[in-house]
Amino acid sequence: MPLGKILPTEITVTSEEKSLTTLSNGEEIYFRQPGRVRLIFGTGKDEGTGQFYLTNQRAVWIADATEGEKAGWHIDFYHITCHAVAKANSFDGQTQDCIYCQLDNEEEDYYEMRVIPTEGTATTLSTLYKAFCDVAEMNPDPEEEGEGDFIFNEEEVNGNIQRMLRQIYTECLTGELRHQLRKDNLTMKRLEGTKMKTKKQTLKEETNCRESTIRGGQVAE
Amino acid sequence: MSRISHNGQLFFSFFKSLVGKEIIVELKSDLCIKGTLHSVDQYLNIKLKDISVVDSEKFPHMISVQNCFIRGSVVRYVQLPSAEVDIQLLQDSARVEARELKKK
Repeated sequence: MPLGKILPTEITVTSEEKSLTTLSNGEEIYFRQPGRVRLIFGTGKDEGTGQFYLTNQRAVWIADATEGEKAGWHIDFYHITCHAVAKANSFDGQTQDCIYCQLDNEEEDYYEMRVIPTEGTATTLSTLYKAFCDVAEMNPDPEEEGEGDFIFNEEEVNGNIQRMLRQIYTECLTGELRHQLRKDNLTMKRLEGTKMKTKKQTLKEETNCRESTIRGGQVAE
Repeated sequence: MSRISHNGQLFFSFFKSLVGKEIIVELKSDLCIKGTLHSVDQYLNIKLKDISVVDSEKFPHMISVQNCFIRGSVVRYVQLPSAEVDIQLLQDSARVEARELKKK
């Protein structure tokens, strides 16, 4: 799925049937949060309570109350860019500690997601946070095909520049720079050599000149 | 950032040396998070603890955050404590890594 599309995806009754039964190939349930879990998108789009699962590939929430065909939400884990333990705060009346997530989503309403266990203690939340971390580590970014051939957007440009700069930096440090330094050193030595030679020659010439002057003087005397 | 790790482990090792130090991570979403580096993995995913400064106007929920996990690929910049960075060592390591890459 390309990035920046509307995420997460709605689960319909037909596909999930009120419990997590449909798993894709190689997918398995990694963690199930005991008790009811409230899900809130953005700044207050409360989806109500439901069951919350982490599979080794995605986060899945299945609503207690179905509304038409809507049965919940799921999101592939690599779209969760950042997750955190957020304490209860006064902002929009959040009275319970939760897992706060940021999603790589252009859709503003679905940019943030809060997963709020309604039962349990602080330990409950740190266990859930750890499970989030584990699954995030299992799901690195998918390799982008044709990378380096085309530049698509600002991020790509920045990425490319960073890579290039780093390459230039390392190359400078190793190959080119050392080569240049060696060249410079040789030139310096050669220059020094020339200088010394010139000085010697000059000295010699001066001496010769002086000698001949002396000799000349002697002759003249 | 995560792609760099495919070329070598230098950045990974470098960030590991900063565990326990205070850093500021700027995300591509413009969010800046200051905290103590708790851990880093091969994808340069970063775990921070004791978070202190975040852009509370844009992300009000982040105020009450203490620990967080940041996906390596969404990191734009990491501000490092300059006193903790051994530039000479970093340069030497870059040389070694570049030499090894050339061999491949």
